[in-house]
Amino acid sequence: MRSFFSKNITRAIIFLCLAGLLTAGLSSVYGFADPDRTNTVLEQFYELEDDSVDCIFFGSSVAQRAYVTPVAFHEYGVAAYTLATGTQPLVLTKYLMKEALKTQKPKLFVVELKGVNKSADWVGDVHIRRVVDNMKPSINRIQAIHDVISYVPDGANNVDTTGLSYYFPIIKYHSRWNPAKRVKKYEDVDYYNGWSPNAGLTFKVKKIKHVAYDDHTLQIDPPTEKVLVDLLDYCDTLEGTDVLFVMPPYQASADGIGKMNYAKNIIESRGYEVLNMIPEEKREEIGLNDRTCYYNREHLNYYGALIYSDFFFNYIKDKYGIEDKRGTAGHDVWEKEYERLMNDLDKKYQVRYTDMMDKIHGIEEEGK
Amino acid sequence: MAFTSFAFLVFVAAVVLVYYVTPAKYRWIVLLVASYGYYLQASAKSFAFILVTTVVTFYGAKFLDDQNRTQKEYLAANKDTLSRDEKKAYKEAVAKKKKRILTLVLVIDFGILILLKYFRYYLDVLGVGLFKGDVLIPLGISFYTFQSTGYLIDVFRNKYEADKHLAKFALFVSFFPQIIQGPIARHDQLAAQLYEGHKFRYENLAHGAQLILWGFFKKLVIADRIGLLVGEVFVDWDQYTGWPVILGMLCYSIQLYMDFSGGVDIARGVAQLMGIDMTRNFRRPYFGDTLQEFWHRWHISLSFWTRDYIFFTVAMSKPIGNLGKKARKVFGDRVGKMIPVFIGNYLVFLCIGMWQGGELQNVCYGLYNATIICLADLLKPYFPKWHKALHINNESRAWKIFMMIRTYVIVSFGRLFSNGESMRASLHMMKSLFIPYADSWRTAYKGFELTKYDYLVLFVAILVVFMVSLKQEKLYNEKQARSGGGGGIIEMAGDGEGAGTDAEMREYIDTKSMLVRWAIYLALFAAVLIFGIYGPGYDASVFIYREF
Repeated sequence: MRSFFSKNITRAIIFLCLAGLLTAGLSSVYGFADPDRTNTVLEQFYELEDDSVDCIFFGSSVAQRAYVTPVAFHEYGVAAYTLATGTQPLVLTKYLMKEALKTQKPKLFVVELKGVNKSADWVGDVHIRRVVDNMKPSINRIQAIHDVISYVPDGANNVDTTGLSYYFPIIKYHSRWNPAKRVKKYEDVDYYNGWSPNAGLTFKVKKIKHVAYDDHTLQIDPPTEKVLVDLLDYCDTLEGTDVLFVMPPYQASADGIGKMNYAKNIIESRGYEVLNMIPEEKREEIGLNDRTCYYNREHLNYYGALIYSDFFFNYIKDKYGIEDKRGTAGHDVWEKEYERLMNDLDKKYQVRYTDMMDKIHGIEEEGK
Repeated sequence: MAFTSFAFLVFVAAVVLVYYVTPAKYRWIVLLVASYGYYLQASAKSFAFILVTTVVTFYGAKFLDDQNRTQKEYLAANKDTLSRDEKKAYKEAVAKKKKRILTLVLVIDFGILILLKYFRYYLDVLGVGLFKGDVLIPLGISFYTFQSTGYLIDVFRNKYEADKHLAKFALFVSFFPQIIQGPIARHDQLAAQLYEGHKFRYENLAHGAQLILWGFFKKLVIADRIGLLVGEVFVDWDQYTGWPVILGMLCYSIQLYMDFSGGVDIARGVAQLMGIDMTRNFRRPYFGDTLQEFWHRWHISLSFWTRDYIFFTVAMSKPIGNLGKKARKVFGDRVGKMIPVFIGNYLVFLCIGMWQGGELQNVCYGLYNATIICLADLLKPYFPKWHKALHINNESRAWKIFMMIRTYVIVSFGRLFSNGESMRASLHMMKSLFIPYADSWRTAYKGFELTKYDYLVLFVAILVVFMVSLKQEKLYNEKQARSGGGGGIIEMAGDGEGAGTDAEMREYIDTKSMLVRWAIYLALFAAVLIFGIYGPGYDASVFIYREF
């Protein structure tokens, strides 16, 4: 009787394991896909050699465009990686930090503060999926999903508040066997240590107009404030990794500025540094020009990103004592990414890059 | 908590686990708590109605049973002292008393059903807003009402004794896998199984899971996919004429079968996980070569219910018998004999039609089926002559296939009534069948929301079900031949798994090597996982029969 029982139970367990493996295998085939190929951000990160990254960025597409990480390594020797994703919810930052710390011991985490402008009901399905669907299966991933669906109110922007299709993404993506349901990816989207030229958009030039900065404050969405405090609590537990918060140099609205100021006060009261890049004098100090350095009101173009990166990486090198890693073991990939970018600038993006520079030279000539 | 939801699967897993870890004696309590829990979360506002039906039917049956027993004991005790006339008078007095109680309980049980499901609808049609607020039609009201009243009539007929335990009877009425869409169980077939604590058997777990998986395949891969096309044609009924309407009509029959039988497979599979065999509800209905045969194979539990409790009651009643005698004098022996049968048939199909709702098109659906069946009976003697005149070999395979296709079309045409949005829509669609489609096929194709890959999946999936059905039919016929049964409606009644079909199929698969079996199960699992219509972006539609 006992042997019959144990034989059948063993059989059932083996069968369930096979079904589980099948599900896992199919899940990897029918995984996350968006036109921006955001899955690449985490995929490439997981491939990095352990303990090779010095600085990691978190935030939205603003951060994703602003820090030209391949150039940062080649020019300043900073091994940096951008884990920013389009409209990344602040609630996920803590979990991305934990994910990063599984394989890396960075000197510095840089958190973009634009996320505090968003209320919980603004978070959409795709914003969550860009992060959690691309994380490796782990307890951290489960906690991230649990927290983000607890944060988002029911019925908001197609968010599956049961969480089921985040825990098991195949529930969402299984229909991709049908070509009509597949996502058409942008051809030119590529990632270089997390930085992306975003299908060539980054080689455009658009004049923008910043709202005059003042230090007024506007209360942020209470659930978001709770998330911020929770993030700061987590930052307090980090050992060997500093955290720097940044108000990025984008064209923020007056309300946006007020909310970031509100968050800035909270963060500074907890002893963390907030770099405010929005005031005109600061942008001038960096060398950012409203007529030549942006491709839309939120994002720096490649030219602007190089200027900003120059300022930023020099700043953190000095301030946080990040050593020059050029030529050191385990960092070949950083140099290779730089070479790949340069090669692509020469070939793939050559026309767009030249057009951009011609436009910028024209504008600068006009300005003189 | 839909059968196809993850929550339901977790719920079932929890119930099965608790069921087997509870001492056998108390396992029925686990089922009752689970059933009431399931009902409360799905239909809390109408919970009182199922309680009323349960209590009233239980005590009604108890009274009838007491009368049966008292009569038996009294007659046995006074066997020698009572004259024949006195015995007859006593029996009549008891029968009268029993009829009064039976009528009272039936009025209450069916009264709730009629009031909530039909009367409210008719009042709404007439613009009389009697029901204010959110009074919902109780979940599975038709199923549990028919099941309870069937039990009551059986006790009335002294077929078996009444249930002694109210809480156990409550479980019989509310057993969660069957409450949504049946099958309508007989007390003597199901109750004892529910009350008995079943031992854990690996086969039950394996076979139950297989049946659930098969149900998921039919529901999610076929029914919900083909439903996209059917929905378009039946919702935008005034937009289409010609072949799109024909396609929608023919596809609806596939959708309904896959949806309903898939749901019942899931229900039966869940019950089987706990060692409970619920009667099957389908026997490959589209293999029926006449409409009558179709109804012997479709929604069998309802067909039998109506046969046992309506058809026999009516056709064998005194007034109808007298009417038959009179009709014989007027129409001759053959037709006269048929009159009681026709009346019974019309009532049965009126009930089957209205099972789906009180709308005029459902009434027409019932009358349509009854009329065709009565006409077929009436013309039966002429068929051999016509076959001879047209040189038809009615034993040939080609003729049988033709008959099946013809029956399928007749069934599908009738469903234009039952699935029509309104009577006007149904009639419009019937007319549209014969008007050529004016737009290009591309216009219709785009409207159907299915890609060519969806059609390919549908084709392959339906082919799989068809091949499995062929095998099941073969196994069934072999079993019938071995046991000497004819496989007719009488043989199938209340036989549970005895003449089961999918059970044989599963036993047949069991004879294959483990590699083959596991390959089949994993392929089915993967097919549901990949090709199922579920998850964000899709709303797995609710089961069509859920509302009945």
